Amino acid sequence: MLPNDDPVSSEGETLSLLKLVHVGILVSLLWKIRFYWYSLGVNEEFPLIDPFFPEFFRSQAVLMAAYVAAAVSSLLTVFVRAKMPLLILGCLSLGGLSILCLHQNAFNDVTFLTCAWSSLWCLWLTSRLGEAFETLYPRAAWLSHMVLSLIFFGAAIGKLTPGYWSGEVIHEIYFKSRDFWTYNLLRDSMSEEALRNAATWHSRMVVLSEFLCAFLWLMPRKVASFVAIVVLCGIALTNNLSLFSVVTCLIALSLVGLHETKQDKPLPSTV
Amino acid sequence: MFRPAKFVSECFRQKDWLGLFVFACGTLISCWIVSIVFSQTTRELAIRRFQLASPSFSNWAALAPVPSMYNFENRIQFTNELDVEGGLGTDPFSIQVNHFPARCVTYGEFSPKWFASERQGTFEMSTRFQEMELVSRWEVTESDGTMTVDRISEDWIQHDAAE
Repeated sequence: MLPNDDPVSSEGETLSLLKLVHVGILVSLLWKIRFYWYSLGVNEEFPLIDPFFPEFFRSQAVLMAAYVAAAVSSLLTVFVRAKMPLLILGCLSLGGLSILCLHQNAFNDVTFLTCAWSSLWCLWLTSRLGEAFETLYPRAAWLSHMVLSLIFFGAAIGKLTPGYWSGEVIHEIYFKSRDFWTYNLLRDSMSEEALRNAATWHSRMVVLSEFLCAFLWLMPRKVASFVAIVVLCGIALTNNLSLFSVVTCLIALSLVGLHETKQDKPLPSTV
Repeated sequence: MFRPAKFVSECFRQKDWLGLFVFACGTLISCWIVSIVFSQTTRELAIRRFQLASPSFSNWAALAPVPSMYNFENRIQFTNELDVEGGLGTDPFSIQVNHFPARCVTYGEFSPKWFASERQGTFEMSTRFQEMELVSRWEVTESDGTMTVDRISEDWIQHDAAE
């Protein structure tokens, strides 16, 4: 048997990728934990009923249980190797995140949506445990890029509106008063007119880079991963560090495409 | 380079039905996203989704997997008064928000500020994409310490393409 055909070592590589993305999901979920804790206090102090949501999706107990289920599932996945427990944890993770995407007090947080898509990818990969890594990996990398492309595509299309092309939206949300190092620096060093112009070009750059990333699925594997990581890190580092809660799981998903498969490694010398 | 057709054929070869399902979901959602640009019906549904104004919760939940970060132009305004006739006083709406303007009430993001003195008020939100804009008005009233949302009105505004 050739080393590449060894099912145990092959499964080890699949598990490494699975755990990598689950760690990304866990970091995403924990990134804003202080804010979530604060939000629970606000919900407690100002209880509000929107009858649009069924009672289940308004409950604070459900909100907490779903969050804990998602976070604990990702944490436990790091320590488990057997397929069946991993499948159960994968279902729990996806289930918890899906509830968070539909809950009155959480539906708007994109963190839960990006984590849910990453979790779906993980559940799929878990279901393939046992398949030879050589046949599985090209599909795993491509599917991760498809998920990333979809997320960028949704973001890009919704910005095809005059307010984003003119920069008005970004100017009002970020450039005017956002307390973050990039915007503080720009406000200190630019006139109001120059700041407005900068907002226009920044907004256009955001739209164009999101459109570029909507086509990751067409790019060569490593190029796609590299582009995605640069754009995702750029989004959080230049706009708002809280956005790492949204992008960390996606960065982990991007890293899948940079995995060095045995085929990528040079053949040993035959001397 | 790996292509969608190769992905599909490999999935069939490996009997990877979940892989095909995820691929099909992604493709379907991509088509839906594109249709927002060309179809008035899907555009209206997308805008309604942002304001929790979908025909039903299940209809809204079906759109939950669609990524929509920083989509559309969304504005909100709020006053602690009830039964307000006419506008709330600012035009255009005073606060620009990135997505899901309805969250400004349901998420409690603004609650400590808006409801600090009076646990009631009128909330208006506007969501615009291309020529279509939806303006909705909610009233928040208090009973036994719990606030409840009532949907008062919704108005569609059709703008000129050049606006």
